[in-house]
Amino acid sequence: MSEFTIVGILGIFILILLFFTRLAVAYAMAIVGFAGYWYLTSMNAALTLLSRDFYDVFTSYGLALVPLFVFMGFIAFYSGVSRKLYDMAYKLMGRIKGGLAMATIAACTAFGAICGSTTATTATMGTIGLPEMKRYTYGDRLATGSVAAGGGIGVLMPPSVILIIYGILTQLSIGKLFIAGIIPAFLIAFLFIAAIYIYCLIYPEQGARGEKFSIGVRIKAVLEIWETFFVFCIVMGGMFFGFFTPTKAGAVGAFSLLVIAVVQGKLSWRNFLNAVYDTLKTSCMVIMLVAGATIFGHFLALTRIPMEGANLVASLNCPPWMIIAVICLIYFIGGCFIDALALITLTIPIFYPIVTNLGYDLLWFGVVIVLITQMGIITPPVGVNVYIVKGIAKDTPLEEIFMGVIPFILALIIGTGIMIAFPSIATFLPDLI
Amino acid sequence: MLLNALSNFMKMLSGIMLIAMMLVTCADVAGNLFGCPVMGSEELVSLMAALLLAFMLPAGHREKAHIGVDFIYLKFPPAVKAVDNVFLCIIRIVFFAFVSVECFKYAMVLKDIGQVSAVLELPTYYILYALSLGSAVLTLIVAADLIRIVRGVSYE
Repeated sequence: MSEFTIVGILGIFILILLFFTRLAVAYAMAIVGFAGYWYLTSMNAALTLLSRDFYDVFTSYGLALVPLFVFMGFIAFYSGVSRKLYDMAYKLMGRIKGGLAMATIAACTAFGAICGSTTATTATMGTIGLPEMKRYTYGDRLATGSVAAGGGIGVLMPPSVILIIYGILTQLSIGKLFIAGIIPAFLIAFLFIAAIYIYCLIYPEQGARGEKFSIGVRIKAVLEIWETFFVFCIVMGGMFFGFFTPTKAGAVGAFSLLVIAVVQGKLSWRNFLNAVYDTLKTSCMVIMLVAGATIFGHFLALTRIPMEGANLVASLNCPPWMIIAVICLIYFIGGCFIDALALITLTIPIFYPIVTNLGYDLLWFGVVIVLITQMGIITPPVGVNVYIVKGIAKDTPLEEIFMGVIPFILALIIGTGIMIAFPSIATFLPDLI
Repeated sequence: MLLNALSNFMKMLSGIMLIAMMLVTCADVAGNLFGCPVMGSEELVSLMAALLLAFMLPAGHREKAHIGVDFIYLKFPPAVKAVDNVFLCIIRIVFFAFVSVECFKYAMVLKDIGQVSAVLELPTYYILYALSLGSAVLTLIVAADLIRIVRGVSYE
């Protein structure tokens, strides 16, 4: 093993140690990358790397789509679009046993189509859905579990921030990645709804039937969500048919939603400012992660760890699926401890050459790892969505919420298995472009 | 107080950049429909995005926007937490001071060679000045945090 490789392994070890100190992941990657580069080259080279990498990342046109799509999501969040979505889903599904929980999943999927933030989706749907489910005497487990799990569907549904960053790190088309996420997102939503149905067959007391609505009321409810449908069609249609780039799609989507919200009187000045400031915070966090990963990636490239890793894996006598299974396991375990976005920015420079060497489709791989890291947002000890739900349902013990997400974790595992067995679920639509 | 005011002012500038990015891109898309796109719109948007981020660095840190892993930190006893916070403040100060100085030096290099953007021929060095300023204010904010920790004022 060369000295450079040893320094690289040491760098990764120090990085993990720094995570335990609560240093921001973006800062940790940048600092370790900078220090490692300094050690292997010279101080001048490392300092030059620092300014060049920050400049290149910050002025990248490809990354300009992050604030625009995030802004679109926060306008949707603050303008109350989510309530209409929930209302529609409730009127369509409320009558079935567990129907309110199913409506939560459907509304989360629809909201995910205009809002790429899982935390915003969970917080919104928790605020709307949990009191409704309480009113219909739903069990705490099913109610809180469906909100926590449903909030995560947005990571697959375009415009997903995680897919954007994956696309930038692997230099894949963001438009194709967005389109690749659509069918898997619907598949997961379907599996979640199936999980609720089976859960209510076993524990009927958990999900009572809701009101029954006439066909006319249902159709009216569907028509009332036209703005979500309209914005989604503009954004995805524009990209799918090549009318504009993802960055332009983000700007047009945000602007359209802003105009609709203002015309309908749904967005106050205070909420507009909140949407702007929340967008700035999220964008700063996301792009600093990319900057940190870029610096760390340059250090790793110097150590040749990604290339050595790919060569090592190629020399193993294992079938490719086994290597993919090990990578998936790493993402599953890592996702339990580290935020999905941070985990992906950290690991892609290492796994990207391995997966490329194995000949797997990178669009499919992106969707699969995003799906796996989705489990991390509802599993202990981090499980950020569970903590958000706990913040809303203060009377429900944390353990109850973690118990409530178990059926959905099983659904996610089945979904991952289906995605691995049938990769065309992710690649079918992008191949049409 | 002064640092907070400065960071808030920079955050406001960031917000203006966000709206401007959206409007310029939409004007370009609309212009395209009528055969008169905004020349250099992609360049403008890239530069505005860079300014947005540079100006948001101090507020992003102050408002704890960044992702960290805290489930182990939360189990530390108070004394270890204090030592940990001091250690983190010091490495952040050193790192962002480096970033600030290096960006300033790089800006001077670009200014001297007269580097401009490809289409609109806008000077690009001011992006680096903004980045240098953002990192400098961030360094000062972390230094203020460090002073508070050393004086025994709660940091959490």
